[in-house]
Amino acid sequence: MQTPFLDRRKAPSLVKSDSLSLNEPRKLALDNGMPLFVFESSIHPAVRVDIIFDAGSIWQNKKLVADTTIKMLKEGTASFSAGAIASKTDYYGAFFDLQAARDTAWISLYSLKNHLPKLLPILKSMLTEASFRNRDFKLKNSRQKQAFITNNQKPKQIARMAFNELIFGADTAYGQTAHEVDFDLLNNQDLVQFYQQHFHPKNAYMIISGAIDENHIQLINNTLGSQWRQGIDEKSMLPLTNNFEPGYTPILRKNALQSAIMMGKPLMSRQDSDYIPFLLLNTLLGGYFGSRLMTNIREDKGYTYGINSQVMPMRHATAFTISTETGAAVTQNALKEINLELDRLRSEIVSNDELELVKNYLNGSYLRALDGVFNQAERFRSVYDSGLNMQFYIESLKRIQETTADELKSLANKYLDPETMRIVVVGDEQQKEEQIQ
Amino acid sequence: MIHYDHFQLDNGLPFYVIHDPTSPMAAVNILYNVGARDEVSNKTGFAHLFEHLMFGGSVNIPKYDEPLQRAGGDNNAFTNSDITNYYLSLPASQLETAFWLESDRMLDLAFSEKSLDVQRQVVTEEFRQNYLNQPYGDVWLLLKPLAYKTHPYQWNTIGKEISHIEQAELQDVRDFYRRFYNPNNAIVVVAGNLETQKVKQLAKKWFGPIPAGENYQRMLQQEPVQTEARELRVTRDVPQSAIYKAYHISGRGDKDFYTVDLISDLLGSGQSSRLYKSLVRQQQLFSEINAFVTGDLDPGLLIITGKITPGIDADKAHAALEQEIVRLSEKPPSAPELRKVKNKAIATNIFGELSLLNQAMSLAFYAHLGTPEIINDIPKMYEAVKPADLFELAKTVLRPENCSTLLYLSEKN
Repeated sequence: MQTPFLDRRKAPSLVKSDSLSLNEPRKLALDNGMPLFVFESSIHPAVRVDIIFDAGSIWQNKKLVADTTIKMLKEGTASFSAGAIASKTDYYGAFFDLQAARDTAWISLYSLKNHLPKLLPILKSMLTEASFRNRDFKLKNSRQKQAFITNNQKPKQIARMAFNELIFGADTAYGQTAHEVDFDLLNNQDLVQFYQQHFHPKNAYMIISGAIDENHIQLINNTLGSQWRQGIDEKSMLPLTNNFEPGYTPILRKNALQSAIMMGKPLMSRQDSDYIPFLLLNTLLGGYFGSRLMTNIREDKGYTYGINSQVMPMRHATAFTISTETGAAVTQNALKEINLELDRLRSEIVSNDELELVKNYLNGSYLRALDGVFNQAERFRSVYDSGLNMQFYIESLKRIQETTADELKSLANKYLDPETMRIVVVGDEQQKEEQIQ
Repeated sequence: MIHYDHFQLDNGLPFYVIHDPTSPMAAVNILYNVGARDEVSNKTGFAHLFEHLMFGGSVNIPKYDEPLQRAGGDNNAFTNSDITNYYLSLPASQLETAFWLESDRMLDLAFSEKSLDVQRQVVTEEFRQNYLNQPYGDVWLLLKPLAYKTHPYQWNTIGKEISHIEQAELQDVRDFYRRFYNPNNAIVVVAGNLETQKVKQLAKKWFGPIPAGENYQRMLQQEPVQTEARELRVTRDVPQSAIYKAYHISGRGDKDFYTVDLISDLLGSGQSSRLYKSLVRQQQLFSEINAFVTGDLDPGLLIITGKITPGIDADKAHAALEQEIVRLSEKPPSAPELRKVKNKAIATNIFGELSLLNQAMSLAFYAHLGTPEIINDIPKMYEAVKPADLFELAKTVLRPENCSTLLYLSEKN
């Protein structure tokens, strides 16, 4: 049989991209009023339960309180010791993940479907009767402190902390940053108070994703749907005051072989009409492997293993950040190239070819990020907090596809002038000479 | 249960197709049977450097990433001691783009001096970022050569030293490619809402014409049995002293692997493990402790790592750690304790394979082991372990003379 000629230089024609189809979760409520959202799928015998509280660090009046409070839920309750929680959870092959961010704190339970009923009593106990015993607290706090100190030796971490304080202001809701001494100032009464104030059904919502059926939903309502305890329904947020100033902040880290660079500024909120088109601009600049920053600074110059730019939306603030770690000797060169790329976006029109590529790429990323119920539940959480729903993703993608090159240029001029940014560099540029030799 | 079909092209390239009608995405995983263990001792770090070069353009396509991104795809790769693994995901409707790109770089690369120069520099920065400019970053650079004296596992994937990467030349790169990047030395797994017939047709079209290379015969010097305890002490500018212990174990394909994996879980996986309960919670000698197995194809390592509570003498902490380890060689575990680690291992396996991409990666790996079907049998493998098996194996593995210990001491203590 004659083999047809195969032209390997020519890309296969692209199939018209699949449009995004998404369902909103089923919305229910527990008997105590806590909203419950269900993303159901029985493909895998696994289930994930998330309970999200308005209990992130913006609500704390002392540093580390939000993070330590949620983490202490595993360290002992009136009914289960820390050891019992760990051994029961492990026995049923389950995992608890406890995290606090700026706005919210959450507890996630990952379990096989058939073991879920065994784990609900533990979950309930953690939510309603955590004990915060001083001994457990001391141990947890000293371990957290050690991990913090180690992490703080990483140039990237030093840069991240300084950058955050500089762009949002040291004692504000989004700028506050914990330091070593804060671990010594913390005590378990701070946690008890925070727990009483924030961990109650009126301050929370729940998402269940995966293999869940009506019996399990009923069981969850029976276990967690009653009133938990007498809550104190009052909370106050740290101030947002912000006197952002651009500028350059070098931080010496003796003998560092690389410099950690963080550069950026506060940005518009997620509800702003510029927000979605800016996501496209950000992707083009530093949001994917083929981005301008990666192409220039890694793939052409070899100054770094990686460089990216990102947009981090929070409830009352958004951060824009470019970050990288570069060889000490080429730190200034890398900064020069970053500025050059920002200036190019402000002065030149993006070609149709590049614009189409980035739009297609984002189309694929949205499909990927929203594939399967576990991903959908994750994405839902990030929009629900801003009063939005899954429709947001469909509309964003549509808005992205409509964005023009002219719009991108004017957005770049509005937001990406290097003179308006704060630059933090952690490293030791004295290394320069040695590295060149 | 993961359902898959299998076929093989005439040039020796095997394909596996996982059918999942629920996802709009497709995942493609290509495993090349080459890793850091295939390097020579004065040119280490090569398999990994080469992985970077695979993105630098192939014979007919100047850039790998661009067309893939244009099709809505995303990709990455990793290299370890045993394999180099490339993976991507893209909308299932664009599968042919993936086949076009992957087949071209399997056909021939377009090496350039420029691409080599840049990637040498990028990998050097990767070396600095992950191994040198980080607290505890050089642990593996110290521990592996302590545990292995003969086998190439003595060096890390990143290479023994930066100079090996800096000295890589274009001819080395060409030879490496010719030797390892052949259809008969690779495995392809495709997953998604795809018909096997359609995949087969595309596979023949794009990968079929690639000529087979010479079969690679791996002849590695195996590591001789370790006969006495080894210890290395170093002092570094870190906040806490730490201990790393490495015990020789069997390879990933050995029937003992699941047993030794459970031994590591019993010892140090999670807050209900023996080491955590005794040394972190009760005695408070350590602030963190972990145990795991490396999962290498040739005989690997069971690793125990612990960060010592500041103010505690490292030798005292070490003695307490050894005392806890030896308990497992003195008495078999109770039935509930074994049940617990089995449940956890089985659940971890299920959680690990929720995504199409992870399923594709796992299937490629098991196919490389020669037993693709075990992708559905992992729970059975763990279930089959008896307390007596675990006890006997613990007695063999957890002996001091089978262990290399790295004491990584803080300057501050």
